[in-house]
Amino acid sequence: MNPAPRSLTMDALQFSGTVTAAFSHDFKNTLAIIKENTGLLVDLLAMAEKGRPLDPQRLATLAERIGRQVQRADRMTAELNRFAHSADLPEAQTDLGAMLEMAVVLSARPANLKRVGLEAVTAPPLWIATFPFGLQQLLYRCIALLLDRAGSGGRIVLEADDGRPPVALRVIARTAEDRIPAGETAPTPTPEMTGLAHALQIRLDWDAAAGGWRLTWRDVET
Amino acid sequence: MRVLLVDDERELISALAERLEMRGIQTRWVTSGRQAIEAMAQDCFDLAVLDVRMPGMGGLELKHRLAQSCPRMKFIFLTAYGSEQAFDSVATDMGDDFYLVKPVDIQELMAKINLLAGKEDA
Repeated sequence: MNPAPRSLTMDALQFSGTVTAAFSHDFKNTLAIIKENTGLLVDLLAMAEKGRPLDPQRLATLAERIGRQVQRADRMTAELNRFAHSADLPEAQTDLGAMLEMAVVLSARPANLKRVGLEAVTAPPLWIATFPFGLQQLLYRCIALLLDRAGSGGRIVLEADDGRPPVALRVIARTAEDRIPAGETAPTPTPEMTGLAHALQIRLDWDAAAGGWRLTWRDVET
Repeated sequence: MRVLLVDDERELISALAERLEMRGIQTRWVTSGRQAIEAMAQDCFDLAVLDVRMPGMGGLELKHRLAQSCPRMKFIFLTAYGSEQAFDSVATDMGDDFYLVKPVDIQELMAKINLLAGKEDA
């Protein structure tokens, strides 16, 4: 017997928790690199005080490493801030290309753990009125169901249609050999995905020929 | 004591290895579970310091693989969980292994290594 579907609110909270946990893990890793390399600088300076020659190039390399990690943390902060603000309005004019790029960022950690690449195919801006947070939640769930299909070395491609009505997105899997995963039945969307798609007025279909999901906005003009 | 360090963050694990070397610990560092298994095939280590979450093979799975070829090996895990309490709630199969939350304090890591070295000598 299938477990009872969680409410959309519960699913949104769980999604939000998963995403922020992933960001916090990456922040911890970034801080760890900064701390270890700062510690190494201190160790080298302590040894210099005891007479061991100090290599300026070595210091420069460590300083560059630390600077790169500060940039990484700054980028993550901006991404997390963008994600947090995606829940500000229940409906906002949204560029789908920017949405796809954010989806790649949000799914980067689970994809990386499975060695699956993520790619957003950028297109001319395509504006649509939607709930950005809800769309991210749906894209995250769609990607999650494709990770094992793409497999290690594979990739998941997110792309928007050409903009002519009806507006549509595709989330498709490709194997490491750049093929459509073969011999598998269509994945079953969770009840939460179906409910969320309905709430967003999106039709969610499995496109077997493309090897992925097709999200079509119902009755929406761009 | 010979220590194998495994973490997919290259700039973390290489710096940590160098700091341990400065403190008299022989180290080798790699950035994946597969590389760790290859390193074990070439060499023997007393202790492995493993990142819990890595692409492909995480630290907990890697521990079981390494322990098969070297049952006396000791393990310390590194985790990016928010706190030791948070990691406690998900890590239920830690046995006698130690774990440390990133960013790691080098003195705390040295204390754990020395403790395990003492157990090894006893």
